[in-house]
Amino acid sequence: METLCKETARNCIRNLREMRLALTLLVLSFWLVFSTPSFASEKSENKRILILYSFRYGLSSNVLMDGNRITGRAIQTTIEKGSVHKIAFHSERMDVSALPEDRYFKELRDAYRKKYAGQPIDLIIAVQYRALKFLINHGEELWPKIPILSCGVEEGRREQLKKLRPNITGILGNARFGDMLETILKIHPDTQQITVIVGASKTERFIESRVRKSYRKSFGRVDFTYLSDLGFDAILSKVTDLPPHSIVLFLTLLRDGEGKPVPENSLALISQISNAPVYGLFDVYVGHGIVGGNLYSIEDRAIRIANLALRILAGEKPKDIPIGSGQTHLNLYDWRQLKRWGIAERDLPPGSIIRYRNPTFYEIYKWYIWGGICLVMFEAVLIIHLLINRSRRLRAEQKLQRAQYKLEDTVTELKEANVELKSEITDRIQTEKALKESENRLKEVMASRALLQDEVKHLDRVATMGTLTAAIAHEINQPLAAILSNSQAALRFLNAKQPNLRQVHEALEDIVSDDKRAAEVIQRLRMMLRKEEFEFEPLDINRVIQEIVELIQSEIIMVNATVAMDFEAELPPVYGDRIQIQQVILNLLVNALDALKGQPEKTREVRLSTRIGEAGNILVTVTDSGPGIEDQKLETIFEAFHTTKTKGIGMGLPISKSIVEQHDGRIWASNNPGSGAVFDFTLPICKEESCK
Amino acid sequence: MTVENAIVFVVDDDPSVRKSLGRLIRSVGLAVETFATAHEFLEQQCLKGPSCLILDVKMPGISGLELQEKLLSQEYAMPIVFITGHGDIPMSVKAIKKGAVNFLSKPFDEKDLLEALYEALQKDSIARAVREEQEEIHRRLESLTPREYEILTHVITGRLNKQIAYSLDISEKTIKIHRGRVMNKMGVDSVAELVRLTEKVDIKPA
Repeated sequence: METLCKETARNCIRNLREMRLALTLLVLSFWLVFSTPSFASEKSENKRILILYSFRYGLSSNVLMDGNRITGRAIQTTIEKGSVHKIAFHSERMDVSALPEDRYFKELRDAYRKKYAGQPIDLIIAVQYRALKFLINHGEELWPKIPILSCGVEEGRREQLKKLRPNITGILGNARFGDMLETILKIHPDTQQITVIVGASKTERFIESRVRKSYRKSFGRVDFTYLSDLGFDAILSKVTDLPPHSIVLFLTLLRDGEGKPVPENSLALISQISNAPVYGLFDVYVGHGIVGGNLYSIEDRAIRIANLALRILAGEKPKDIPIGSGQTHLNLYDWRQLKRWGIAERDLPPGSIIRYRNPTFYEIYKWYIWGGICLVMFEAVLIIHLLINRSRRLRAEQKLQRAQYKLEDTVTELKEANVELKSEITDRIQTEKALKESENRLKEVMASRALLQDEVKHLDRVATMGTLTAAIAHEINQPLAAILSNSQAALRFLNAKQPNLRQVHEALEDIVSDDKRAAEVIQRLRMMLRKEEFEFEPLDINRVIQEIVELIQSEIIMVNATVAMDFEAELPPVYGDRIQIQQVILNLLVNALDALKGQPEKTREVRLSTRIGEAGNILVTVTDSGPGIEDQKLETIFEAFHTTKTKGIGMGLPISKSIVEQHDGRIWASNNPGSGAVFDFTLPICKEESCK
Repeated sequence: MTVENAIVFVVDDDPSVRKSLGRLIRSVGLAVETFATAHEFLEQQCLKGPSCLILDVKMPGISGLELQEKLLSQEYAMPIVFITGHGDIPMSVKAIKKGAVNFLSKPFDEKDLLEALYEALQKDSIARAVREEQEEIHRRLESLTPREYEILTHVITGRLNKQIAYSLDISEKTIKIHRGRVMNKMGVDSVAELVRLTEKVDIKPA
């Protein structure tokens, strides 16, 4: 088993090694397959381009504003961008030499021959005529049949170029001084004086002559001053003190009129101290002190040549490319100078390009500004949010406060209610106590009342006596008053001149009857006062009633009433005073008969009845069929002077009451449901020994 | 002392008293009418000449004091002499306060009664005269037009025609005419007389 395992393991390892080898080979083959075409597409075909400049510095300027540098850079950039080839650039700057040109060219030829031995050149670009001239003379010796492109040669040399070898072509173009001046005069219409600054070198002299020739023709109204004969210092002092409406036109300044070289920053110096705007010739001057103008574009010239170079590098033959023409001029301006001289941008020709514009505050600090605004906005939002939150919180706090106040109120109220409740509870307890106490007292009172009742009975009687006395006084006063008035009237009648005896007689009769009435009253009073002398005896109440009815039989007949007697047979005897009880029955009977007087005769009835009462006493009832008693008078009818009759003094019932009560009985009045009054009184049953 | 056309009313429920009083009053030569109840009196009341009322306090039905109350509520209140058989001081004070001439207790002497009677009749005849004069003044006032009445209220303040004209915004001449008519209708010759008349009927000056 073990050996088998080892065998397997060994096999595994071998397999792994084989796999690694296979993998490496695979990767390598992939790399070969896919990398080979990329090798082929590389700019493998090396090309060499020689740029030959006519001067150390470009015609236009000095080292600061070097046209050669601008040209070289533009050509290189354009070609590198447009070509599939790998390009090696070489440049040579011819110099201004003290030697005659022929000898200088030959020395240069020898130097280049040595320098470029074994380095084949594929294309030569000649900048400006001097370089072209050198190539025309010696190019065939150095680089036979190599294509040559001419750059910056004037239109006037076109015929000369055509006669040359077929390997030369290029673009011709002149500086347009006229357009340049016209532009200046458009910007400054009132210009009277133009000071032209130009150097004194051979080339510069040539340019000056061209300019002079160009301006002589058409700008008669403007005076031109050329400073090519002055030294640099003289030029400087000249430009500080220019007359009004002057313009300075700076062409080139390589060597001054005294033959001395000028500072590299000559244009800047002049511009700084000049009291008039300085205009220039080339686009490269912009930024070094000129206002601008319709400028000769060195850069554009180089780009156009580079494009021709690309065509030749792509395989076109120079003889197939016709010589081009036209020099590009650009309207270029320096923003700082425009500001300095107060030139409005709208006065510039349309399509002008303005450089060195001072960026505005916004342009400089664009991001800061936006950042600031964003920050402010953010903070504002934050602040608003916070304010809203704050006011919400305040509101909530106020609500809370109000709620707290309410709570406090409620608590206070509750406390108060509690206190009240407590006091109520106390009160209640006290009330309960008081109730118990009063209950006890009531019991006491009830007990004492029983005791008092006897006393009260006596007091009642006394009170009744008082009332009776007053009633009797009233009753006596009436006849007394009548007697007095009658007597005095009688006297008057007697004393009159003719005594009226009839009147006197009548008066005396009335006096007699009033006197009798008074005597009756007094007799009655005496009877009342006699109460202690009542003679109590057992009485048959039915018999007593019978006697009274018989006594007033005549009265009953006069009234024409029927008296019905409804007696309970075999009643026990009552104990009382016969006369007194008869008085009560008489009173009630007389009252009943009086009540019947106004009634129809058929219904005139008095009913007398006796019964055993509920309390075991004798009940006597007198009922009449009269009009009855007013309900409110039922209570007061037994009081003195409450008469219902026109006659009488209202003493009958009080007296009857007094008598009944003295017999320990009770008397009360009520009305029949039908009609008529009902008088009841009770008398106790006799309990004496004699009754049994 | 006699009062012409005078009539005495007696209201008492006691027939003896009623009869004797009537006789006594007739004996001094005065006309008398007696009533048993206040109700009867109220039904038969007639007020041609000077009159007075002898009234019992305690009566069935309408009592004497209740009758006094009733009469006071009328435009003209007859002078009252109260008589009672059983009176007390509070009752009498109450009656006198309400304008009763006297309050006599039965039995009373004729001297007291007749004195009270004459006093009452005198009082009534004066009141009657005043009332008649007032009625006459009112009759005259009623004959005035509203404008004349207005002028009158101004005149009795003692203002001049000019002042009245100014405050009423009418011409002085018109005021003069109105004023003349007012004097004429009111039957007076002077402003003083006019003022006296208007004071009697309690006219408020403007």
